Amino acid sequence: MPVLKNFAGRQLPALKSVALGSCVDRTEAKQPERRRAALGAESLVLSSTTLYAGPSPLASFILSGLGSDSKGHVREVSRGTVVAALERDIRGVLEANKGEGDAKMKSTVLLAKNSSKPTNCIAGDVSFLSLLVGKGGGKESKKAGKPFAFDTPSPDDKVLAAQSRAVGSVAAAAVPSPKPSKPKPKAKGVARLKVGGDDNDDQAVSSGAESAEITPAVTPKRRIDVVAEYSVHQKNRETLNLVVVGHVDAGKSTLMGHVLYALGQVNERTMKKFERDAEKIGKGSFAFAWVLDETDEERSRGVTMDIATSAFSTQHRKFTLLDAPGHRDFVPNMISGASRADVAILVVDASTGGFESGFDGNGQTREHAILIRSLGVRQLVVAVNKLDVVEWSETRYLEITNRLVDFLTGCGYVKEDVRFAPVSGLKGVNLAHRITADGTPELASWYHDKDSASEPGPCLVELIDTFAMPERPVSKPFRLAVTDFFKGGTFSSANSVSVTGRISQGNVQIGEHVVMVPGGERGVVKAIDVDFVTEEWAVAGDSVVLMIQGLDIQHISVGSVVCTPERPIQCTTRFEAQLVVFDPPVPITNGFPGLLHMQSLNVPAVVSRIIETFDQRSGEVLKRRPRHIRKGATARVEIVAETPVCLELFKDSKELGRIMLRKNGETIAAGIVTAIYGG
Amino acid sequence: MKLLKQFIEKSRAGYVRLIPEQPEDMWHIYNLIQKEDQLEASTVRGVKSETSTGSVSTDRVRLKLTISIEDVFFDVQAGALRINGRNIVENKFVGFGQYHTLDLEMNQPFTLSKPEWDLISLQRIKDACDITRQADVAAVTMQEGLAVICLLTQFMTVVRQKIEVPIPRKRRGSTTNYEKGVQRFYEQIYRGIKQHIDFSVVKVVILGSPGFVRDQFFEYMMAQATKAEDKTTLENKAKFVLVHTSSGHKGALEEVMRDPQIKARLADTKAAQEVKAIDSFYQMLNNNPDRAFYGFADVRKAADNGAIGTLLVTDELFRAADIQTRKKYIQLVEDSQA
Repeated sequence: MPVLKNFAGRQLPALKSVALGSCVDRTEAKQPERRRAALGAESLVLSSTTLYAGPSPLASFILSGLGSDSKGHVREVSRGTVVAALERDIRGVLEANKGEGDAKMKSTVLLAKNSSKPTNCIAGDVSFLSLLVGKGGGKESKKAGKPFAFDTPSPDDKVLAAQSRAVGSVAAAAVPSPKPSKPKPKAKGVARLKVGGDDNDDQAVSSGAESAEITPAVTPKRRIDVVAEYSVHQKNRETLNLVVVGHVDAGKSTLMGHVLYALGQVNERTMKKFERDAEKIGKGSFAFAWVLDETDEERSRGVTMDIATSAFSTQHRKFTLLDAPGHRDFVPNMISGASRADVAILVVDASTGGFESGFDGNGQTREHAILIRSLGVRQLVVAVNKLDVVEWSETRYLEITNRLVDFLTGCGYVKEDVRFAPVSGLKGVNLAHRITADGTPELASWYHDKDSASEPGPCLVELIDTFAMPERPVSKPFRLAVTDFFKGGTFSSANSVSVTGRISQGNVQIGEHVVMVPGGERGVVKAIDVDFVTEEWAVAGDSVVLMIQGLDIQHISVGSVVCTPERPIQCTTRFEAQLVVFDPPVPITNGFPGLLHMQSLNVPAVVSRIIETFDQRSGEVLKRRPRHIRKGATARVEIVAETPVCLELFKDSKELGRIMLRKNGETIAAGIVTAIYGG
Repeated sequence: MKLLKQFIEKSRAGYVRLIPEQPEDMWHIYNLIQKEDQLEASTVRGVKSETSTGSVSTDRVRLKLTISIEDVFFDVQAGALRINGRNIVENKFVGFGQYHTLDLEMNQPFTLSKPEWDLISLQRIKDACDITRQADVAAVTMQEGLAVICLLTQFMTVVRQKIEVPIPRKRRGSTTNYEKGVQRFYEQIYRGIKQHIDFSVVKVVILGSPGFVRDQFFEYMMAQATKAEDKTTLENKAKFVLVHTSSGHKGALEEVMRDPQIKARLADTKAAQEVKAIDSFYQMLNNNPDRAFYGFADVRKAADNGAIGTLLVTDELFRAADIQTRKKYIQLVEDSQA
């Protein structure tokens, strides 16, 4: 008799899943212990405590003539009796199946199961053997005389599925489908018996394995039709991603910190603590910024260095807030945040000299406005901050707004989509509530509502409440650009990783299989957090934390994209893009090296070839293969990156098809991907 | 590199005998040698010998071979130069016409013969043998999660190690992951510096980064050195120069060259001079695009009209395997020099 051994020389309990398939039935579970032991097998399925490191009782029984008693211990049974009994029963089975049909078969089995003698292990084995021989498994096989096709989930799997449903978590998708044992476990003698032919068997087994894989062995509660759910719950679930940009020290963090406080997101005690601690280190005015700047370094230096995420809701909208750094050196981080945004607040400093330093020369006001425009943000609220320092002067306000309107419309913003609000982040004026004539008389005197001159104008929160919701591409293939990843988080386990990012398109739900590009590793989504709230599904536009099991953290990096396995994103080093060149210090020539920014990723890249320059409006080609591109021009170029980048064509995905080119701390050009060359 | 002997006739044919002393010399040799030149050097050959009993054994024999160069492979990181060619001098172990790959070894003399020695090659030998000004500078460019440690010699920038550590972003409520990641990152850079930078040779260690990364790292490094009583790092504290760059990628080194602090210290390195030259070219291209050209066709036309004031040529062009192409460029250079 063949003894199955693994490479380490241990006997394999490989027969388990096959053998038990026929013996186990839900009803059997209620049977007394002895009966179970008599059948010799169920204990293995239902109570793992009786599992032990050796081969399964049945396997050992078959292979070496040992039986098991009620406690699951191996017991010697005379080999002779067993073999004789086996032969007898095999013959019996064969006869029963010689075209006699299902009834006879069933009765044989029933007979065997109902016998109560503990020593009658053989009884259970009849059906087991009949299984081996290929005459179908007991109650499962409805087709008379046909080999068990392994196309239905085995009771084994059913039980496991039930267990996992009860527990509520998705067991590892790696539950073995009934592919395993195949023809091997047939004892030599049995194999000689040609019943139905070996080929049928193989075929049946392998096809069974395949079909078992397609419908995952462990299904989650139900496959949610996320698109339908979304259309139903759209109003509740819609969030807008809001990025706050502006020159350094314009007051972004303070402004948003105060807004969060005014909306009740920060409690009184925490605020007092911040104030105390900030005073202690001499940065009293930064107290509100501490709501968003959380690292020690940011607090001690008084600068935001990386994007801080938060969430809040207004009357009609829910927002995910992204506070961006304003400092020149941190523009890459700001780009990473802005690429996730739908709408923006541009904060400008109204104090004397403050606006000028931000707007003229090398200030970030311009650069940020251009960048967010290039990243697809169409709606903007400009918060003219620190007006209290200039006594709420209307002339100053108008001066700033006029200059900005000119500049922004020149950038490509539509005038109606740009609104202005006079605020003071530090004092908290005109943030969440409209001003009153008594509170700030200077401002109330000239800041009026458009419609009624007696009413004060809208406050900041009201303005952002009126942002239009953009269309979310919920039905497109799922894509999530990874901005951050870590071990830990809710429900974490050994081989799971949490990734954060914003879903660019498509939808995802718990239990879904995903693939990571580049790398091609597959995983299963175990948990979804949308804005710090656990959900079952998430759609395009949501900022999420996904807990994925099955991925190796070493293979993930910022810039990886989590996709649906059916249509993974392309990954390449060479591609073609259409660029709008801003104001490079040196003209762009063939072979121009720079830094390519794509969402959160930045890699060194070279403009290897300038294909042509053309007029932006008319589209006609100005010059083929020009020597260089000058400022303000639009050109089609070929870019070669140092390491592969995950990209989509712009026409397929607006978010994943945008790129930015920077060099020496300046943004040289921004563009869209027009063609991707393989590899 | 040391020049031991030079013999070049009026017909411009001749040979030179050199000893490479530094990895950088390999680079010079790489640019010197061309296909069909002849190279004589001491090398090791695996020779198969058959004994009377019929068993075949291979012995490694050291011998002097002269080969006619056919193929060159230069590994920048390892500083290894492998030259493949056919044997042209009859030898006890190696027959005429048999192929052999020479691994040029440091501190071992070799002789290079050329049918025609041109200006460029001779200039290169001169540069290589110039013992003055071998500015050895180490540079570490860093940004959050990425650091590149390089060694700058006069002619090369060799990347010694690239460090990439994923640093989780700060999340609301918990910054410990971030802090831990940053510490891990600094630890790796510190180790890299200790491993790859030889303080006895290096005069300046440049730490370049955007933001505050370099300051923080420097603090960390000094604190660690004090804790671990790392004498070498502590003694060489003065060699560290902190410079602002726009990114942590290798390309940011270019900006380093422009920084006034560094400029003073590296004023006479070729790299600094090159940066100056490129800068002025770009300025011209920006302001007066009619006076600046690149690409062979345009430059050739300018040369024909005698209109070249400054000519910048990259090394890569001279390394062109095709003799004809190389001649073309050399011609261009010589014409403009006249």
